[in-house]
Amino acid sequence: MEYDVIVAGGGHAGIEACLSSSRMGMKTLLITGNLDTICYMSCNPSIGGTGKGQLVKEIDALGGQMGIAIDTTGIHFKMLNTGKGKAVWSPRAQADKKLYSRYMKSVVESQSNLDILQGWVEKIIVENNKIKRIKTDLDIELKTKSLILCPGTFLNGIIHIGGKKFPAGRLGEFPSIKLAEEIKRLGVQTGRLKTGTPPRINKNSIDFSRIQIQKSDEKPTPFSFKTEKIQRPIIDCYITWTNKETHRIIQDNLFRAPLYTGQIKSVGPRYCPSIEVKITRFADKDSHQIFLEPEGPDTDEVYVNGFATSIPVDVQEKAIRTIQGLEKVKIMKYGYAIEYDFIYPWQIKPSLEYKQIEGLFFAGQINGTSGYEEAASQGLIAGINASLKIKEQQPFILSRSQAYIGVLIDDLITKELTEPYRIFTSRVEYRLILRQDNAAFRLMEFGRKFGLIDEKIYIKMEQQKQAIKEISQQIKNKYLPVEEKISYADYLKRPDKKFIDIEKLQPDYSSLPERVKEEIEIEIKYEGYIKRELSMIEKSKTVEDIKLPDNFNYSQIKTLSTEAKEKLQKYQPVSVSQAKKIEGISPSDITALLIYLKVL
Amino acid sequence: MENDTICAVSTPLGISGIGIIRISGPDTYRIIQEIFQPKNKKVSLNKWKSHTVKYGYIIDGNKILDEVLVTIMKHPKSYTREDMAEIGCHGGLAAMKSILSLCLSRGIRLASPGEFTKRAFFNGRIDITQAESVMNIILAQTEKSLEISIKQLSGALSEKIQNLRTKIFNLLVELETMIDFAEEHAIKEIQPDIKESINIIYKNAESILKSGQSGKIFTEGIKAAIVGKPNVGKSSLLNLLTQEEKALVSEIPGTTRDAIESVISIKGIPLKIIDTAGIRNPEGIIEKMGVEKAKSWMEKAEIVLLILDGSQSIDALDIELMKNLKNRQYLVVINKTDLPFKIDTKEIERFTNEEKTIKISARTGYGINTLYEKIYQLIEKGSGTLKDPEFFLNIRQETILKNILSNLIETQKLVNENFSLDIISEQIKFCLLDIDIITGKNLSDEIIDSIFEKFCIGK
Repeated sequence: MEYDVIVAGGGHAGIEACLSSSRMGMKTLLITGNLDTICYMSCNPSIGGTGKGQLVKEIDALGGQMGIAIDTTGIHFKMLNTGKGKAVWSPRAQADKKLYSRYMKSVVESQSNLDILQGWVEKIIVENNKIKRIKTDLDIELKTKSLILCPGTFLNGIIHIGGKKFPAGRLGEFPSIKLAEEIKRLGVQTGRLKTGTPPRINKNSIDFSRIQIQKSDEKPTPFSFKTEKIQRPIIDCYITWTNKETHRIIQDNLFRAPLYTGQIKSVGPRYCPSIEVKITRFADKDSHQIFLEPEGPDTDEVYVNGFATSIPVDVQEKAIRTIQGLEKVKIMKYGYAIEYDFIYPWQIKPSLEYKQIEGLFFAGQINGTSGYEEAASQGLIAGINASLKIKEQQPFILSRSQAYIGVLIDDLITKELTEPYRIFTSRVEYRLILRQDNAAFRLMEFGRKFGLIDEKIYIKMEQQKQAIKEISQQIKNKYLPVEEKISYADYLKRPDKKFIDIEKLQPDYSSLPERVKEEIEIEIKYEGYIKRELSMIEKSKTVEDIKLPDNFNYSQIKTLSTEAKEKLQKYQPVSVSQAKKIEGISPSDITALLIYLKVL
Repeated sequence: MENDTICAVSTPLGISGIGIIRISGPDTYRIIQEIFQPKNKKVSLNKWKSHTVKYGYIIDGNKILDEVLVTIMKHPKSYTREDMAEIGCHGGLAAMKSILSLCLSRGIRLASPGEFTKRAFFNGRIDITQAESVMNIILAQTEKSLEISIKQLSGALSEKIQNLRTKIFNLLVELETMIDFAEEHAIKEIQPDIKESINIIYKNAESILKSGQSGKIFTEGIKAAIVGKPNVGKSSLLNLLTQEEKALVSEIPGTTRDAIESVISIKGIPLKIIDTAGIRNPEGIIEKMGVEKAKSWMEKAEIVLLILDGSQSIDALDIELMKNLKNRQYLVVINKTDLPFKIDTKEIERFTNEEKTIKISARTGYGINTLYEKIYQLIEKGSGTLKDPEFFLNIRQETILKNILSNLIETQKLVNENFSLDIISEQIKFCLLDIDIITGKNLSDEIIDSIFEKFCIGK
């Protein structure tokens, strides 16, 4: 059997990878250890959030699956940051966890060009620095042109709960041990990271009368351009608080907490601290917010957001029962921490291909990220680039000024990774341009080029884009019936005006699609600021874009400092902008490098 | 590579009133065409040979800003390997500044520090060692001409800027936290008083600008007006002071109607002298305009030199001018002492005292050194920071601080109008980016520019 693309791992990265490559006409195999946990949400049963919501929108615009999946299986939708300006609006939704997984499984099952196999990749056969074959746990040998590895937290995963520790990919599943060894054997440099998850509690044991309800948005905004309207049964979430007693119990038992006993050595994410870290680091706080998020309508498991922990089970139980409304709560799954192998992402190109072996791609948590959205973004890009490579086409690389995905990948491959990476809107330089509302208008063109977008959808997008352009122009040339010359556009720019105020002046605009109205309103209101960002983008396109050669021997440049030689040799940056961001590279090294290249 | 057109004053500002404005980039010839009028009007720009010098005027519409020498260097045979021009100005700092502003108003961008050298480097004109030695030369020259330790000065400035940066940065961090951690309860405790923070930042930036401007006396000098009724010898005095045949000297009263500016050095402080139109009893409209102008220059100038003709009696016009000396820094200069002395000094002392009166002869040069000394004493009296400027700002730094101030005013307005946080935050980020240009830091990791940050503007 010979494949174009083999994707190892059926999580959020792996699914986008195998779907995009098979949709691009590549004969693809998805191989994963457990077919019943495809796109399983190991942690929070939710998609989106600040920055992450933008990623999902971009994945959707490029032809990925995540947006439609959450629109189809969500149970609670919220647009975040609605009070802070449209540029930072971020959609977030709770998913029916089981349904999400089942839905994604059915999508891959019905996908043509895609085979699915339960199993574990254990051997990777490389010849002349090219991927040739893989071998599974059952000694099945499969030829392939490329391999995309998306093992998530499974690589050498070790779970910690109190003094207990045991190998696992996530709670209840095997880790990937042989693959971890194989990756090291190939010479890939790996490190360890840690992440954690809170307990799941039984809904029937919660006293809902004592906690605060949190409602979903009444009119949810779809993640996918393809979704006209979200029609889903909505479930409420709840908010409660930890208190002094909770903190005291945890404090008294810190000597048994693996994060403090030295049992866990690797670094976890600062933006997502466990409860034991929170009470230690913010000792002056008497209380921390806890969100109770149901994992679905037909399960009683409730996710205790804000209470990630790896303290011993008896302490978890005692502590959680001090929380208002949770006095008699029954834990169904205990919280735990997991340590896993990741690869230092400086070893991969912006296409996500490993620099040393042709056809080997890495995507998702293995590259040091955290989050389903970050993983899915990389999976999609890896799938596209593996396919483009086989088609002998240029890799698809999004820049920082084009997409959140561009920022994500650029950060990964150029910055020293010191904790699991999460996207934030503040990492994005051109935030007013890269909005969640215009993702389709920004990126669908690319998705269509790769054959990942249905032509009907594309035409619809194109028509809306045209309408936005035309009407924006029109309202600049129409004036209010008053003495001073005030155009509709200037009128709309006033903070208290909305597009509906223009409709009052021009009733035929009321039949426009809502999305068109919204876009016009934003584009007009932000016009001046958008122009300024555009001019900044132009300015930054300077030496930054100068490309550096592949697999270049930097030790031959005598004028480079020793540190620079080592770092450049290691990172093999693809462009000057990347080289500049590498720690330890001084401006004079860059200068020396440029002079040398001119001489070349 | 950035390929817009840049300009900057490329000589250190200081005692020298002569300086060069350098332009580089594709629009160089367009701008020269627009603002330069060769004395020999037959010369067409197309036929202007590279590396040759032309004499003429810088004009803004019909207004002549300065007489200059312009050199053009066509690419690639120039310092930056781009089209370049150098304008040699003679009219002193103010003229240089107005030419620079003219270029900026015509779409040319002010160069970042070291940008010319940066371009030279990126276009393969010089290598890194050369770039560094250029920097050393520039630094050495600056130190010599200003006799002030650059390092000390930049240290004082950078500390102030760093404090300002911290304030802006802290506000930005709070705003960004509110945006990126929308769901966290912790952000409810962050209630930045944005208005108040911006206020504090504004005052801070403004005070840096102000103290920087007081140190600026060494770089930008102070304004002096020479006033007097027609034919008392104002132009002759100016010529003597500048030792150049700059202003028109004429026996016909009223020929110098336009104020011409020259710069002389008084112990290292540039004194910008404005020659005003002859003042006499307003008979014609033109002369009347001259009188009004002279009075308005007396208002604007920091120092007034009132010239009287020692060979004639005081008349009503002299008296009117002397009345205007009240509350001003001034000297009464009695000229033409080489001629029979007819003026009644008692009358003068009705308006001033002996200390502020000086007798000279512009024709023979008598009393000129005493005049210099008296002017210096006047400057010293008027400016407390004269002896020991803590730091000074160059045009670029001043521009940036002014940008920040106007950005803050704009932001304050947006806050008042309840604009959304994404835009407010962006405004604050822009202030920070501006500051990071001053200190050479860069928020968006633009390390490569930092090597050139050490360079003075214009080289």
